[in-house]
Amino acid sequence: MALLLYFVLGLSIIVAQTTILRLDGILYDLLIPLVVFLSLNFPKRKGILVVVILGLIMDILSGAIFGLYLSIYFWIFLSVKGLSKCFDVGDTIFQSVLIGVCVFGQHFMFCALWKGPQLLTVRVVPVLLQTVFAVLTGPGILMLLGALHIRLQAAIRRLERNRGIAIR
Amino acid sequence: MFSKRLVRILGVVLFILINIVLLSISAKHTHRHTIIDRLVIAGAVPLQECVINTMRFCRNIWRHYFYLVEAREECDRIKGMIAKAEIEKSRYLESELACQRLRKLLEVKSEVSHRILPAQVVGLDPSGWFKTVIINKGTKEGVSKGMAVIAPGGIVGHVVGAYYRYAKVLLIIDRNSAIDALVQRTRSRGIVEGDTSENCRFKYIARKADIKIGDIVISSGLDGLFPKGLRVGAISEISVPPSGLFQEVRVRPFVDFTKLEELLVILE
Repeated sequence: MALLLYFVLGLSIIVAQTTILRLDGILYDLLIPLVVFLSLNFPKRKGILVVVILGLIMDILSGAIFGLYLSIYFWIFLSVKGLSKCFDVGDTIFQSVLIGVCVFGQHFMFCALWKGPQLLTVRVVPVLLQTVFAVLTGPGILMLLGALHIRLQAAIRRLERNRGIAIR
Repeated sequence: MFSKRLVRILGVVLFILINIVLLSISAKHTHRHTIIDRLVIAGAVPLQECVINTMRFCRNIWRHYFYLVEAREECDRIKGMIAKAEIEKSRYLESELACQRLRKLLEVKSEVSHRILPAQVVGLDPSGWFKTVIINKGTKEGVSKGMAVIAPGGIVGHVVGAYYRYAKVLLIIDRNSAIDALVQRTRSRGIVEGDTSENCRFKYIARKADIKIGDIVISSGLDGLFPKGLRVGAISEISVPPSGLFQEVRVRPFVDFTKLEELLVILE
């Protein structure tokens, strides 16, 4: 149930990013904070399913090499999962750096596959801008998702208690 | 001797007569203001004034405040009407612009001898790295992979993925795009490739080739994707490196890719 809602949220982000939001300027891929959040809050098997489906949709809609988004989200999910075992993931600075690194990493992958040797000269300004913006806003988005998650869990528990059925 | 009733009647009549006489006498003489008059005036008029002022105040409140409320409501209503009129105006303007765009498309349609299908852009690429758009026509309408897509300005790109009701179009400004093209004036041939910016690179133009800024670049038709003679863009930058076989040329496409809305897919 909760995963379905996060999937719908991801889908909404994709739709917004492919229609009204332009990712050419300061705005970065908003699915990254969602993937990080799913990695931090859901078990591997459940979270990865949503991440893979969202990546697949992005790949279908984008002109990128097929599987690029899927791979990026997949590796972000696994990396964050691994890091969460070693670091305090609740720390805001850690979250900032994490989101920033993920956004930069995504650009790095695009750049590496797209331009190769001219990596450093291509689109430096938007990449840096988006990374900085991600560092600044990433923890805020994670906090929002966290608050949503807490309410969602409470609602689900209430439903389970009231109806006496396992919703998840 | 007289009954009580008769005495009472006579008394009333007498009183009326005295009253009339006194009134007649009073009417003939001007009234002098006595101290009683002054006292009465001094006591009563302020009260009157107070009442009158209160009434006036109430009337003013009624006239102004409530009137203002009404005026405010009317103002709000008028504002709403203005907003509605603005929306209407915007809609008419939008319709007019759409009409102009469609008229241009019709002109292009009449210019191009091939069978073409109008389509609308319904989605953009989610990343800034790749330049593709999704259009609302797919295999259902006969669109298939490799078909050329044009706009009133010139070439837009070609279909790289066709689905039942939608198709993905790779724009000519994407780095993966390449068009066999030639300079309309001198027929110098080269390949127009997408670049990082909104411009394209015109590659493999020989050093000796006679080209200048502003020359129009058209499709050569040799790539099997785009029909011959479709406008690509105008040469915007030329530089001749000290060594090498070719000139470095940039082409500014005629199509404004930031404002893509209606397109034409060349079906044949």
